Amino acid sequence: MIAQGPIRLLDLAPVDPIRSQTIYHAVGYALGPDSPDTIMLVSPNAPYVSIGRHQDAAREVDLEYCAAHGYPVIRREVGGGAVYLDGNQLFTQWIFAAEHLPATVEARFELYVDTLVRTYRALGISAAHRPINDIHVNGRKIGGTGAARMGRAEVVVGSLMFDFDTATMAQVLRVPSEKFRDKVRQSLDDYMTTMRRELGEPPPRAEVVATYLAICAEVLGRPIVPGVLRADELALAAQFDARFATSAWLEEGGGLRRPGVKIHEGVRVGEGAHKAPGGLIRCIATVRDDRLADIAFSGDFTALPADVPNDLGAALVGCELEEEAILTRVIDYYERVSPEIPGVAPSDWAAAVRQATTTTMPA
Amino acid sequence: MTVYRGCDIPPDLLYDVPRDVWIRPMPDGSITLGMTDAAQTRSGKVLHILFKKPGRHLDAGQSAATIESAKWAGPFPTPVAGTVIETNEATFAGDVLIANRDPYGAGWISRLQPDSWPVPDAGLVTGGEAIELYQVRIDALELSCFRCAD
Repeated sequence: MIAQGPIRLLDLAPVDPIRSQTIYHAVGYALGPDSPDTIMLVSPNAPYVSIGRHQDAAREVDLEYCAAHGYPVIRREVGGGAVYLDGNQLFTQWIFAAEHLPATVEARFELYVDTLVRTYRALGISAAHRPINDIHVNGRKIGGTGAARMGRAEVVVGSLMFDFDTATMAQVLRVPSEKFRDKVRQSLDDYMTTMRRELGEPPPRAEVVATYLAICAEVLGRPIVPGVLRADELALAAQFDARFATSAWLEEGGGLRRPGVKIHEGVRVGEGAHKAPGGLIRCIATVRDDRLADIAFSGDFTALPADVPNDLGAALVGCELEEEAILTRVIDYYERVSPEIPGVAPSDWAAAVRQATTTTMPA
Repeated sequence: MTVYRGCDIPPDLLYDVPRDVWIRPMPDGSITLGMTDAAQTRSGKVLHILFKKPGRHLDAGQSAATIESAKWAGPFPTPVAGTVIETNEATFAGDVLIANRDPYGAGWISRLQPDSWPVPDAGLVTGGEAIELYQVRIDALELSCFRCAD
């Protein structure tokens, strides 16, 4: 990295949801050979849902719910998953000439995330970088980050999380069942955190911004100087406003699917079903660091004693995802409890878990 | 085969070095395009590719596909103007990491019928010149390449 000279700061007043996305695209695509590198700080003035570059909006997001509640759904050119955003997050967007940031995505995140981690620590939150691009506080994720190439610019985006509405986040996703939605919300509560949660009350925005900018200047070794948007950037942002509002852009998608709903880098929630001779077994599984963290079985099988589904789920907590390990635990449970479940063998439970942990869901 | 800091730079291909794209002229006059070893290293493991479909005409510099890796999204630009005649979508559907495993072979991205060929002002280089330019670029980027294991 050979960049020198000042970085332009654009500390914007709250903007419309669509502009909170289009503005960094505009600055990125407008970046020319003589343009400054830019750090932009912005929050939306109303809640909305942002989806990843290659996500299928109708498949990932409950569009009816969003429409009923007035939440725009906006595709971004940055990858990743669907996320509910509102004014409680301060987006920290770096739009730099590509050659002014490290060449690999991993190294770019290391630099970018470091500034967020140091900011949280300066504010009294024991944040740490969990590679590649997560920030954790005692196992809970605090904010997400992403990166994209836009013209000559490499763009890295993330946020400082003053607060996060996990209930609405769980509502805006299209999920297979309400039980599953409850599990997603529970996992968001269990595995995400915010400044409010860590500190009781989030610090004032001005304090957070001043801390963040001082750290960015130190880490990047460059002065950060307040600036304004150029006319060409604003004109391009207006073009992106129009484009990003079209159904054609929203529906462009591409069909990216991944197993389960991602809560953070190490935690996913998935649902699957397996048809056993004795009935259908439904399974909702929370996986943390490749181990079963929570299992909920249901279905139309007959089981005695009646609490077999709950007890068997509890017996699987902590188990590795390998089918043999899961099957071993189920067999052990059968030998200990001798349940009466006509037409349901240990292998059927293992198959239901496999379905829940491998079936593709929103990215 | 020439390998520099882990980055393979086959001397028989043409390269747009700044864009990290390779080109292989085909006997039928078409050209095959793909990500260089440096490109696949820089993007990381590919998660998804959205291809511009056959029949679509692209200007030089336009995106022939958008690539989403685990942590990054960006265009795959064509160095020369032409019409898409084939994509490698089927291969990626079977193994999305194919460009991370075999960027110069099975992991090609698109095949174009160029508007004209050769294109002297496209800045394409090959052989020793390509290797020399790539070595400079790899040093400047402080890059070391790596592939996904089979």
